[in-house]
Amino acid sequence: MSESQTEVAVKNPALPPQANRRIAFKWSWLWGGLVVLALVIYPLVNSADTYGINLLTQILIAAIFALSYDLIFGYTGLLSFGQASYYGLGAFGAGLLVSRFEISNFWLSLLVAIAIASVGALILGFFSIRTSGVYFMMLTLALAQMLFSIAFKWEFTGSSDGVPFTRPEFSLFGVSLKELTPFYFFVVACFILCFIGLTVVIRSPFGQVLKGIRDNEERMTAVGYQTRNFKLVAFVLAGAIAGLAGGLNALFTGFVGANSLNWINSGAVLVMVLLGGKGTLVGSVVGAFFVIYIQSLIQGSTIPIGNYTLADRWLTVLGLIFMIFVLFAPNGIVGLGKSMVRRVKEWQQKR
Amino acid sequence: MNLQNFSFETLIFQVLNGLAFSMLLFLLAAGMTLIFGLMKVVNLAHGTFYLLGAYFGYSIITLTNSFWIALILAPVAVGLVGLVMERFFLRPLYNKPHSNMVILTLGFAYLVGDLTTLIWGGDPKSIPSPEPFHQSVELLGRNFPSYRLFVAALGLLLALGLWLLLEKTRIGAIVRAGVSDKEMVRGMGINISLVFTSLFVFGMMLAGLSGVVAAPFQSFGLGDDLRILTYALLVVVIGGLGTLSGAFWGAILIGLVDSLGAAYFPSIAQFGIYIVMALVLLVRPTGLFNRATA
Repeated sequence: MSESQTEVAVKNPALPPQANRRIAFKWSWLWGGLVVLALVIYPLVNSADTYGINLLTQILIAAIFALSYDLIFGYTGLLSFGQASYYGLGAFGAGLLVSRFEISNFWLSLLVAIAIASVGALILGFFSIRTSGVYFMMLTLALAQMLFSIAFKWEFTGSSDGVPFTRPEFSLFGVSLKELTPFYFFVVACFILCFIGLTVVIRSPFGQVLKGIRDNEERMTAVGYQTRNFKLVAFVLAGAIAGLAGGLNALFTGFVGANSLNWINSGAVLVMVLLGGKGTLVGSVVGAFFVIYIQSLIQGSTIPIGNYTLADRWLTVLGLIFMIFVLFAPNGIVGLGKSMVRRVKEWQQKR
Repeated sequence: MNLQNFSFETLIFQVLNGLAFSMLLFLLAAGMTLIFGLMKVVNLAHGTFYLLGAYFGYSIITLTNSFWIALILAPVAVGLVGLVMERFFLRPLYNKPHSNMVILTLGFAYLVGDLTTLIWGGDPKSIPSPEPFHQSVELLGRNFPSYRLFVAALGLLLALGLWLLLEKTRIGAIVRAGVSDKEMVRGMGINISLVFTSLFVFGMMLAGLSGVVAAPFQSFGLGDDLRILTYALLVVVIGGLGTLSGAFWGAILIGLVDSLGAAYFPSIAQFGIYIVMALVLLVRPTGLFNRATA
């Protein structure tokens, strides 16, 4: 089969007319610009609100993590239960470089975080992607658990206590990034870079192949694509971005621990993407916002439940969000929004 | 390698230890593999049901002071939780993509796992070995906890029973037929949804049973649901999903590697089972006993 036919087969299905698409594109630029503007203005207006800026930083780091997961889950259709592995590898890469090797360099930490996460994703991905379907799910979970149990037992990685370290000094344009607000701006920049980068990747021919694999892998194989290689590249790219998120978080908190590799983290990122709407980059950002925001509300609450308070029951809430969205809104908040818009339009047409 | 005090007797002991653990793993993996065969669901709450079995057993023993009552009642109670899960949470998703169900089971694992901490607290619990297995027996001139022999024997007996049930009875025939062609079974006038429910509840009861049985020889608590789930996943990955024999030999392999690894290679004991898994998957990506591709 010729190359041109393939292109048609991949690009053609169910795209809205070109004109429509261009308008939608402009709207999304407008909304994106407004969000970025709000993110930039917020700390300038409320410079005293350290709690809010802190929370926003956490949300943005989580959003980068969720974006990475959306690439493999939402766009490639790989249901991995081990995305925390690469987040954790990134965190350990950045943290251990500073604490154990005593190389206190901000840029190098981030680079090592991304590099280690990518190499980890390449090795574990090589094994996982040889399999598919349920085997893939089970393997990603089992391999993630392997990393967790190593980090939890090993002295070098701080076993169950974790490793605190002094955050490396770094300044950009004469402003120390150790301060909360400048670091926040740095995270905003990373987030925008990841978002635009992933948008480009997804719109590229490579991204179209990934979507093709998600919708019908056998067809893509039949058409002549080496789907395994495409999946592995997507997996490693997602791992690298997750590593960036993990590294940023370690450099933000000055702490790494085995918990960054925990399956609860893999579940949390899955919830973010699911709650926002899988297969839409905006959705994973919306999901990250809601999950981290709800988490901060719950962990700050003092409502008593039995011998505990609601603050200890985050996992219960996470489980409930999981079940509610899988059962009643599998396409997430963005999916709900889209179907509402469609209903309004249908209603208008009827009139 | 720790060979200074290597002896043939120690080796036998470690093998027996490993086999007792293998049988527990088999009870878990058997339920997992059968449920997958029929319903195409990998239940990530499987370890949670194991932990529930242990906790229910603990509470029943506290109330009645009898391990044997707990051994019967705890799996029944776990089965009821399984019934609720299947009827109200999994059933609405049968016509949706299978990944939705897997995600739901993860949510269920979080929810129920966290609720066990709320009810029983986070500290590890344990159950004393029951009469008449609370003492050690002399074996090859050493003391060996007799309870482990009981566990190994019980596991073997149940494995045999399961095999007979599946291969020699009408119920087993229906389940096997459902694995290969669900629509045909429905067409024969068999209530397949009842078969689904019963098999799921049965699988959860097996998980609960292994939880109670395991409680006297390893303390249990926060985090054990995931620990045991990982073992069960490794067993079915190695053995191949959907086959009982795969679950059996996979459980024996993992149980032995885990036990011998801990005894002879303590520094890398964590790795042993994963190395075995990696080797198996390099040779056979869908497991040792799988005829069909997953």
